[in-house]
Amino acid sequence: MNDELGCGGDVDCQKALDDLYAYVDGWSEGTERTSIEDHLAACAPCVDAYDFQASLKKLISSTCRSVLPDDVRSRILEAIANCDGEPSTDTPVDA
Amino acid sequence: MADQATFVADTEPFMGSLYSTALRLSGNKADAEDLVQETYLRAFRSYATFKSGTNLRAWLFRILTNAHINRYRSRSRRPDETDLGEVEDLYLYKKVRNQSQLGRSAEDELMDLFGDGEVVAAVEELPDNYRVAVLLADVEGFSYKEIAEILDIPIGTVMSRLHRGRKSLQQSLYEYALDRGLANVPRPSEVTT
Repeated sequence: MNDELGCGGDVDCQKALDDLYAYVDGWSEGTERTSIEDHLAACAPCVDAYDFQASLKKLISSTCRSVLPDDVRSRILEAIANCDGEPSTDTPVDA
Repeated sequence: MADQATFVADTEPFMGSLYSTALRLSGNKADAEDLVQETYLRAFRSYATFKSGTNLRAWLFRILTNAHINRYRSRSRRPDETDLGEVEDLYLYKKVRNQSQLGRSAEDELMDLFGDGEVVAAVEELPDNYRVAVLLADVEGFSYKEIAEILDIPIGTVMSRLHRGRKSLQQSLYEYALDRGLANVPRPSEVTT
């Protein structure tokens, strides 16, 4: 069926890849975690694809973090200290 | 009215990650600072409505993303959607895997292929909806359920935005690699399928 990844055309590969992002993100609810794990245990090309996605996620995580400068922190804390804390007339936070 | 000391003690640990996200959302330090300050002032004024024991970090990110969306709507900074119809799944992986060297981890290969600045630029180029989803999932590590609550959208929408955002991101990264001559494969436009 799908042999783009060199899985040998295993029909399970497409199903596994469809769920790959959810698996990489650690989301098991609604995805068949055990069936993906069974498939990965038996299919080296799909393990490569999984490793790649997981590595890209880690790379994004490490590169997109920035350090909060001390002066910015101080200014924000000062703004809070100067805030009367009364509910504003802005749109209320509905969270 | 919330007690300032309590509010600061509870929320200050999250200021760094809120700032980092704000920087990626707004694209510059001045706007990021404004956005985080607005988030904290709104949160402080509404702190009485926060239910203790629930997810404070997610609550703060919800305020941050709402504040960003309100600004973004008024400024109309970026197009909301992008045409990704032709981008396939695992785009980058399929393009670069043939160049892999034996015995090297995917992580090492990716770090060789892309500079930090390029990854950040590719994330910042994403349309707003996709960028927010990628930042919350990949950088902040929120679950799909938490992202759904933060953005007030169904989990299926979270997954599709992430999916599309990642496709778009992989396409941009591949373009960067081509521009620097690091990927020795044809451009997408040159590929006939």
